[in-house]
Amino acid sequence: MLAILGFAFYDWHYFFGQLVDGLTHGSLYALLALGYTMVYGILKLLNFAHGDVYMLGAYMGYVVLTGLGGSLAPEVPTPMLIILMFGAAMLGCALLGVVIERFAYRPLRKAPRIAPLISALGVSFFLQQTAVLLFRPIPKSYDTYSLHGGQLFHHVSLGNLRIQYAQILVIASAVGLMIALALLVWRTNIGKAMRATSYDLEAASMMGIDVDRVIAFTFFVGSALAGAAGVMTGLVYQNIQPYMGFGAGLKAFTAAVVGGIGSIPGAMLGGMIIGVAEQFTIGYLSSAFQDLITLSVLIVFMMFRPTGILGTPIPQKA
Amino acid sequence: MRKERRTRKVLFIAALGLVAALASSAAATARLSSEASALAPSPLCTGSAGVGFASVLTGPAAFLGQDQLHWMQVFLAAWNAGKPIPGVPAGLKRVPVNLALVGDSALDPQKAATVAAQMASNKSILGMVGFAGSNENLGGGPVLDRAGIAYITGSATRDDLTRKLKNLFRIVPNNLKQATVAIDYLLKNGLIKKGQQAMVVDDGEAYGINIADDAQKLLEAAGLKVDRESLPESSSSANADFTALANKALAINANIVYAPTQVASDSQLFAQQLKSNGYKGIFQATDGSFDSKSFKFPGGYVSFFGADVYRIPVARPFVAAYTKVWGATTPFGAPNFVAAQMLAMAIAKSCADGQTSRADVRKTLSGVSISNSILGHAVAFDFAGDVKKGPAKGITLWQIQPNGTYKLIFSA
Repeated sequence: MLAILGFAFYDWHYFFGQLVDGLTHGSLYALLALGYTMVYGILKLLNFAHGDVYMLGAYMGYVVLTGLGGSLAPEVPTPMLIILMFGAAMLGCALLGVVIERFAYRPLRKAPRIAPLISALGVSFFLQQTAVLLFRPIPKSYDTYSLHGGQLFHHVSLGNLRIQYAQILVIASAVGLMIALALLVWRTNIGKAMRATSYDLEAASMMGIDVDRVIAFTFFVGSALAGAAGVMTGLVYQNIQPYMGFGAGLKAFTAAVVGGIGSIPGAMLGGMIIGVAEQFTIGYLSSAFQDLITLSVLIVFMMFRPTGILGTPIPQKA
Repeated sequence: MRKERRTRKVLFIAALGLVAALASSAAATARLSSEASALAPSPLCTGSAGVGFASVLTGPAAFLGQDQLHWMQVFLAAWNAGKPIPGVPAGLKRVPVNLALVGDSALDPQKAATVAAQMASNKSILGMVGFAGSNENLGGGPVLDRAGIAYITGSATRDDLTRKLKNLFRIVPNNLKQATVAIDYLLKNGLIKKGQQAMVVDDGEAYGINIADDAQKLLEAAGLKVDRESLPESSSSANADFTALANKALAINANIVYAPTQVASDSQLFAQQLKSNGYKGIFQATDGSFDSKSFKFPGGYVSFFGADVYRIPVARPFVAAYTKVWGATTPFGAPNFVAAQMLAMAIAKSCADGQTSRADVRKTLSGVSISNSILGHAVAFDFAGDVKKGPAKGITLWQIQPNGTYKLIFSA
């Protein structure tokens, strides 16, 4: 850390560039981590299929993009195109999440814990192979460097510091979605029901909360965020492929654990930490250490603070 | 404490689930292979000779192996139908060849060894096309060597493969030759100079690491300073992002970024991210990115072990046959057509006396030559099994034009 601060002082522009790139990446991890943490918070289930929902979200955005003429010759104005891509991916993934919950997890809710875990793995492989069959395993490119003359990648200058429009779009959208989620959870009746279900599913049910509906809604929201993250990935990093969900899911899960699994602000914070840590590792150490450092962070937290940064131990009944 | 224990338990169960899923996947693959083996015909010259094919048919790089398999099928269809094939003498008596066993080595050396054992135990198999990757050849090759089966790879380029594996033949030149041609060209034309800074980025795969090692040594020998990096490619269950390296290239004032990968769209992304950050130096990609549909960054350089099959006149009927059934091809596929051709010609020649064996085929293969392959050059093997005559004009170096097309700028 001291070395990074030293380098930051030595080359502030370089530090800022890596930081912005890290926050961009971290925003995606955070959106994805929210899905893991919300589901875990309510069902205590590691939803391994979540990364693949994100992957399908990226493909849904791609289908809209190519269906509307592609990056080189879009048939609608760029802002409209991007909104449609987000809309389709978020809605499509949200519905997919509900379907997954209904058919793969709900029937196993009272089964031993290993059953839904294996079901989650099965769903993950199913989604992955469906994408392979539908889109072939060759990476597809959003090619957004060609969209509107590559304006998404033009820079805004803040003095000597530069930031791309695409990065602003991703970070701002992610922060906006996270704020919307926080408001939903803390300021609405359904949010209150989610928190109650998360605290004690059985008690919530006895209090008249329709827990099936709440759980389905949780999957709906978490999967919509994954869909948004998928489109953002395509917009900024271009390439999408059927296996992208596994790696991203692993990082997002790490982010959720680091932030405190079950904690919504924790997932946001964890995502940003992992994104920035990865970027600084490449920037200040070596790219060869990227995954090593990220997963070491996970191990350190598992060993010394298993509840994560913002997670709190659940009080147990005497 | 209880929560901690519960979290650990969940993680343990998750790991168990993963292992179970992987095991079931491997079992399914083995079952498919053994079913194909049971249907294998006998290797009599009077009937139909059996050959094997092994490549990566599932997983992130399956596109490559599927493409290779399809090209072999295009060849077998033409060969068995008696259609004219460039390089096959009109007087050669063709022995029908059937694909007796298809094995999925999944870019995994251990799976490759299993596939090789299946090939070895199938007595109808006289030779094999594959494996695709260098690591797979290192895993499965020794088994094939012991079984006396000749195997021809159309894409494995690691330098030391043919020295380590006695029955391996390859259609494509090795990594060192390719890196040497590209870097020599850049030095001789003053595009890079002694004392300048280079960044060499491998993709974490056996292919990329080897050619990046070669390039690093060549650049250092030429007096350049080298920053060596490694980032996994898009196909390895993660999405590549090169922004951190793009920042770094700019910070160290790199004059050249040498970045081998097997995913052409990764090269495109890396080059775009470099440019977007203000990088103005050279971007050099390698054969894995030779794909004008995916890597089309203006000004970028690409070295390749052959030519783009779409551009070769003699390949047109076969490209048409391929695209009619399977759509667009990748640059990795067509060498397998030629690999299958070499094998079929060796079988046909060795059957001249009415009978053959694995040893006969292997021995005959060393003497087979194709004067004009669909790759646009002659093909024959040297004593080690490497391609002897190589591309007609040697390894090629291309520069991408403003409209995205590839312009040949140098032939070795």
